Amino acid sequence: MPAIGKIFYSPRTFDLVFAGAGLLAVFGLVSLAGKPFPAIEAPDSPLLKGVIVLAVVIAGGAMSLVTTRVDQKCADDFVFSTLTKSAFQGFMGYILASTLWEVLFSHSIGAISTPISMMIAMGSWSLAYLLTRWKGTRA
Amino acid sequence: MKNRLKVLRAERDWSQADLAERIRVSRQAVNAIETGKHDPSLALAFRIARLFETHAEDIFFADEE
Repeated sequence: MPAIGKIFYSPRTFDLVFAGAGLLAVFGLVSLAGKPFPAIEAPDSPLLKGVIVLAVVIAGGAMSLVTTRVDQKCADDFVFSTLTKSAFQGFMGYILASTLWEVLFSHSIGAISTPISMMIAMGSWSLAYLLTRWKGTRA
Repeated sequence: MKNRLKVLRAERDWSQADLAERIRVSRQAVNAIETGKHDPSLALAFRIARLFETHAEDIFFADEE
């Protein structure tokens, strides 16, 4: 692997990236939590919106397939396992946190907006990465 | 999975960084394998075995063994 790739895919780089992402998520959650967001208006053509959403999901999935393949090729065994395990844990954490919020607090405190959802996802992945680096990929 | 990586490395007087360079992984990866925090892939286990001129099962073995 070229030297630049070695530096980019080193554990140190990802440690810094996830530390930054985690801090950004905490800052974002605190600063955005009380901010009102406009309601989503009903589209003129619900079918068209549905098709576009589906296309965006497929495009996002295809992009993640390609980038994951690049990651697997460039990152070493340990780094790739750490990234994938923490991504899975982070995604599950995001789903569970969103569900808990919906069930317990949504009616009394209010729904969470898309930017807050993204901060929860980012924070959840960062926390999972930290725990995986600390406890290892077998934990 | 347990392993004898640290012993084999010490016998050759290599640092974790030396071994990492030889098997083309990060030093953190070597540390994680030695401390039992990460099980290497088959490809990496074979690469390690080739470096130490032995079989993978002579370096890595199941926890209950």
